[in-house]
Parts: sequence; structure tokens; C-alpha cells
Amino acid sequence: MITRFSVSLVFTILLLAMIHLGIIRWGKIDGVKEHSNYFSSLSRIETAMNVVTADIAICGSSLSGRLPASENIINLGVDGGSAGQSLNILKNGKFSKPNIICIEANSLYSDTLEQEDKIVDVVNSITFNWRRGVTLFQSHNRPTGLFYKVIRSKFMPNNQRPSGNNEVKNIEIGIPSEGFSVVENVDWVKKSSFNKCVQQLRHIKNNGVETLVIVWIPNGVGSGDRKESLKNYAKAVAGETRAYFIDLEGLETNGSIQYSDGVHLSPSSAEYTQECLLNSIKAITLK
Amino acid sequence: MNFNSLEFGVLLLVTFALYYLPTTRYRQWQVLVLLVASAFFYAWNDFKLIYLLAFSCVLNAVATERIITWKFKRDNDKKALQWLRWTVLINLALLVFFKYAMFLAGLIPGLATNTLATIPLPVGISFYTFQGISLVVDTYRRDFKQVQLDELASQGKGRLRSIFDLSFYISFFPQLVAGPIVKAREFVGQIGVKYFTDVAWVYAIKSLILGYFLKTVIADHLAENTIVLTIPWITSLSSLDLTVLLYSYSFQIFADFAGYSLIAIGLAALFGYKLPINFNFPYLATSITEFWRRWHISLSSWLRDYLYIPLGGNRKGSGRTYINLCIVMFLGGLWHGAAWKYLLWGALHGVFLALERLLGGKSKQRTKLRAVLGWFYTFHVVTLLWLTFLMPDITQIKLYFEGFTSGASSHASLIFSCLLFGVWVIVYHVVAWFNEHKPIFMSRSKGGMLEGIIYGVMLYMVLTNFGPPQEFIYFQF
Repeated sequence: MITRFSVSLVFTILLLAMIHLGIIRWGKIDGVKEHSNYFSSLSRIETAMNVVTADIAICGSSLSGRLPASENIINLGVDGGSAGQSLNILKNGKFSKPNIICIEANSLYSDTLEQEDKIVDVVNSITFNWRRGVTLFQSHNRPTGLFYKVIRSKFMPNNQRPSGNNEVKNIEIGIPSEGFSVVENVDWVKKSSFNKCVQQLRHIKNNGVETLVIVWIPNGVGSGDRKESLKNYAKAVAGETRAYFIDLEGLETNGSIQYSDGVHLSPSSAEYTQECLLNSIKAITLK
Repeated sequence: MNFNSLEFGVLLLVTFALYYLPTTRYRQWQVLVLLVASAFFYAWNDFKLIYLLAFSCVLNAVATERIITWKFKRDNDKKALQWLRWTVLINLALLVFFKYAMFLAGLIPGLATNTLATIPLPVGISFYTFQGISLVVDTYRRDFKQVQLDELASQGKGRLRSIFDLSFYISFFPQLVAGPIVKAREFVGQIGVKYFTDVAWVYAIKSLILGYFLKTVIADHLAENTIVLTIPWITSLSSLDLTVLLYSYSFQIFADFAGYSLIAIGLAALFGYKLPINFNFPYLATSITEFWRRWHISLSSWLRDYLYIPLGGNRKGSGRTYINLCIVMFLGGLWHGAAWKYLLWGALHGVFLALERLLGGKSKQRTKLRAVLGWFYTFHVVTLLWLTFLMPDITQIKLYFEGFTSGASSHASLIFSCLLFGVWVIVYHVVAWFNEHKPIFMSRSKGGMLEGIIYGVMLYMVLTNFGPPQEFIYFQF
């Protein structure tokens, strides 16, 4: 009994490994977003760790997590997380040092900058670093994750390229004036959180990062008032830290930005938004 | 230390290698290896807690020897009973102090609870306290063979060995922090020399694979979704989300706890010990009474043997039986945690048990329709009552029901994930139903190639598709 059982067990594992490898190699399944927030975030981190020379790092929640990574851009968006968590990962992980850091304005208010984060612990663990070196065990190759991506690509609506051009005409760019502070007038903002946030960003700047950019990512949630408050908070942080503030919400006025689930950018809109962001950054660095 | 951590893997390998060292197949050596491993396992996160466990072990070991001596050697039942009472009392006092002091103090208005808030909750205290009580009660009831009683009460060098054996019974790491609660009479007799060649490999491997599959693939993935049933996310959920998530939590808590129990059983089998099964496909139950014969069996049978029967069980008339049922379930609920929600959960189960007894009478007639309706009622009542387990307080339970009228839109990826992983708990129970009702048909697939393939798939999923690591739910109890 033990022979038949163990032989078929080992044979099944080998067979599944071959099928799995085949799907990874020839299945043409792209993207890091899968059903698990945790593993979507880990996939981005794995991808980021493979970037040799990073010019730009994008830190934020799942909103900026949808922006595509590339050879010189690392995206550390944490699904279900915040810009603070993402910055912690950048600080603690082994990544190529970027010259420019883009911080998502939308989740900047979240008081997680000094929280112990499960993902930060995992990124520094032996098992994570061992697993990311083996194709079958990489976070973006998980069987149910691949299945989810296939289903998603088949059924996801609104995935057309936005019609507007990617110039920076409708985009608000600049360093808000110092003292731009509405923080004290908004009840949901804690002064201590604001100070921590400012401190953290100053620390990043002092550690050799050339340009700090706080960027508002278009998204499908929240009322106008709430959005305005969040933006003002981010502007106040930008003013205090001499960071640039880029408001990409202007892209929405073209009517061409689309959301895959009512909240997050669809892949094509994310690509388009990323191009606009890069052009905005170019405009800043050329100044 | 978690069963799904790297450090546990290392501890297990080292312990296993030392345990079966070819030149040291001695009983004391093996017990000592497992005792040290258990101490490491327990002290890993908070070293201070080991003192309490050690105290519990020594207390119960000394009391066992005293009870045997007074009752069976000197024929002095009064003294033995005194030892029994005091030991049970001290065990319960420790449990109350570390687990319920804050809760009880909170019931007294105006009492400052700042100091009590600093008392740590020792992991697994509810489990090892119950095992300690089981040891002294079983001894007093003479549930051991004479040879075992002689060994447990031996003097000189044998005294130390007896303390080691009993400490090992209480602290054996596979079941130390979350069960199964093993009764002394089921375990102490198993302590002896174990040989590598006698390991029930297939049984151990199957338990481990199934356990890890249920825990790391099913429960951990579902946990990532069911977390949104709490504030602040709960307010943005649609009625479909809320329904799917509640059923998912029902599957998650089963997969989490049954998974842990299976891992414990598999680990114990690697060291030559047999732990009792803790779950017998509880969601197949056709009544709440049957549910409790299938869910956390070791706790139910402990409560039956050491609480329900001593209270009089069903021997003192129907009125007293209903009261006993409610008391047992009320305390069973309290055992889970020092909070009103657990009391409510236990009490409601007690009420359902009493109602079933009252309405069901002595009718044993079982029709198919009755079984189906019974299953439907049981599964849904049990699932609904898990709300009290999940939610931090009554306000959030209210919030859950208010969510059905919120008009929020559904979250497709959340529902997808719940269905993708929840469905395996259903499959697991369907297979068990066939096992119970069509045993001849199912026997063809046992022990052969098909079983190897199924376990191969599960193992592959454990290796490549585990969920975000989460603590076992029952660790908090």
C-alpha cells in the first residue's frame, strides 16, 4: 500500500510541476494582480527586487500598485495597505536605490508609518528570498493566482486605451507653498500622524533621494469633499517637505480614464496614467 | 511557535533526529528529548510563560503520586479526595487568574483594572489546565491499570521518571497549545520506547498533508477575505458579500482548527503516539447534538466526562438535564475566552441542545427528509452563531445585519476567492458523506493510487499555493 500511495504521490507532484512550468512559460499570463492582496503585493516586491538600476520608485496602496513596473521603475504598491507601509518596504528591502520617489497622495494620511508590518517581515525572511529564486515558488506564479488572472483578463470590462494624449496640460504640478496647512481644521487628521509623515519624508530626502513627488492617483471612490480633504493633507505634507505635488485627477476630466472594478485603474488606463506621471516628472526634472 | 514557520521545521527535524538516534533507544531519553522540544516550542515567543507550564506539570505530577499513595496504597480516600479537590482548585485558579481576572474585575463597577491588564495570557493555558485536571481525576477514578499506577507512584529514581512522564503528557508540543485535549487515561499508557521502524508513516503523512492543506491553503486564504467582516470594511459590503463571507468564516474556522488538529495528530504519529481525532466532519451533522459529537470532540468529551456526568448528566430527571446542558455549554463557551460574546455563543448552543432534547423526545426514527431538514437547520444555525465568535462585540453583530440594507455593490474578487477556497471544505464533507453512507463504493479508492494522486495534489498546493500566514484561531484560547 505504501508503495502505490507514495509512488502515485511523487508522480503527481512531478506531473503538476511540469504542467505548472508549462503554463508559466507558454501561458502568456501577465500581471501581478491576483485574488490575494498579500501575494499581489509580494509579486510587486519580487519584481522590484529584480530591477538592477531603478530611477523611480512608486510607493502607495493598490491604487498606485496598478501602475506598471518597468526596467527602471519599481512599484511597491501594497494592496489593502498605504503609502506608509510601502515606504517601510522600500526602506527595509534590498532594492536598487532610486533617485526619485513617487508617493501616492491618496493613502498618505493613513497612520501606518511606524507600524510593524507583516509584509516587511516577510521580505527580509530567508524563505521569501529562497522562494523568489525558484520559478515555481514565486508569488506571481501561484496556481490560483494564475487562474484568477486568466479569468480576470477574460471577463474584465473597460480595458480600452484612453483617448486623450499623455501630455501634461491638465495636470497640476508644483511645490505647494510652505504653511499650506488645513490639517488643524480637519477632524480625521491626527497632528501626530502628520508630523510622523513629514519626519519620515524628510528622512528619505536626507538619505540622498534627489526628488520627492507626492502624486494623486485617479480612483473611483470617495466623495468630492473627502477627496479634497485628502488632497489638501497631501499638499500640506508636500509643502512641509519641499516635495512636488502632482494631481493626476485632471486626467479624469477627459472622460477617458476607466476603472476595472469601480475603484482601480484598468490596465490600459494605468499605462496611460503612468505615461502622464512620467511626463510630469520629466517636466519637473527639466526645470 | 507556529506549525507553519521555518523555526518549527528546524525544531521538528532536530527533535526527530535526536529522538530516533540509533544508539539511544531508551525510554527516558526519548521522553527527555520531547520534553525539551516542547519547552523550546512553548517558550519561543515568551520565555517567562515556561515557568507557569512547569508549575502546572509539577503540581499535577506530585498530586497524582499523592492521590495514588493515599487512595490505593494507604486506603485513605478522604486524604486522596482532599488532594484531588485542591489540585483541581489550583488548576482552575490559575486559569481564572490568567484568563478571566480582567473580565471578572470588569464586572465590578469602579474597580481599577490597570494592573490586571498587564497580566499576559499564556498560550494554550486552557488546554494544558484541562489535561492536568484530567490526569488527577482519572487517577482518582482509577482509570489506569495497576502497573501504571505503581509506576506513577514509584519512589527514588522512579519518582523523577514519573514526573518527567506526566510533564511530557501535559506539555507534548503537537497538542500543547491548541489540542486535541488528550485524556490522561488515553495517553499515559502509550508512553514507552518507540522505534523508527514502527512509525505509521502513511497515517502520519496523510494527516500532515491534509492538515497543512486545510490550514495553509484553505483557512489562510479565507482569513484574508473574512477580515473585512470587521470595522471599517464591513460598512462597504453588499448583502451578497456579507452572506458569502459568513459562510466562508464557517468554513475557515473549521479548516483552521481541523487543520491544526490533523497536523498535531500527524506530528504525534511521527513520534509513535496516537492522539484522538478532534473533528469528524461536523458540517454533516443533522442536529446540534450531533454537531457537538463531531466538532472539537476532545473538548466535548472532556466536558461530558469531567463536568456533565459529575453534575448528574441525564440521571436526575429531565429538568435537571436541561439545566446541566445549559451549564456545560455556558462554561464551554466561557472556556473559549473571557468575553460576553463567547458566553453568548455557548449559552445559545446550550439552549438549542436543550430544545432539541425537549422537542425530539426519544424518537429515533430517521427519514431522509428529516435528515436533510436537520442538516439544513444545523448547518445554518451553527454558521449564524459563528458571528458571535468572529465579531469583537454585539455592536458589530448589529452592524453585520444592518449591512443587508446598505445597498453597496458586491466585490467580485472577494466572492471569487471565497468560492475558490470554500468549495474544498464542501468537497471534503461530501467525500466524508459518501464514506459514511456508501462505504463499499468508497473503499475502492482507499490506500491506493487514487489516494496518492489526491494527496499529491494537496501537497503541491501546500508547497506552491499557501495563503498569507496567519496564526491558528484557537491559539487565542
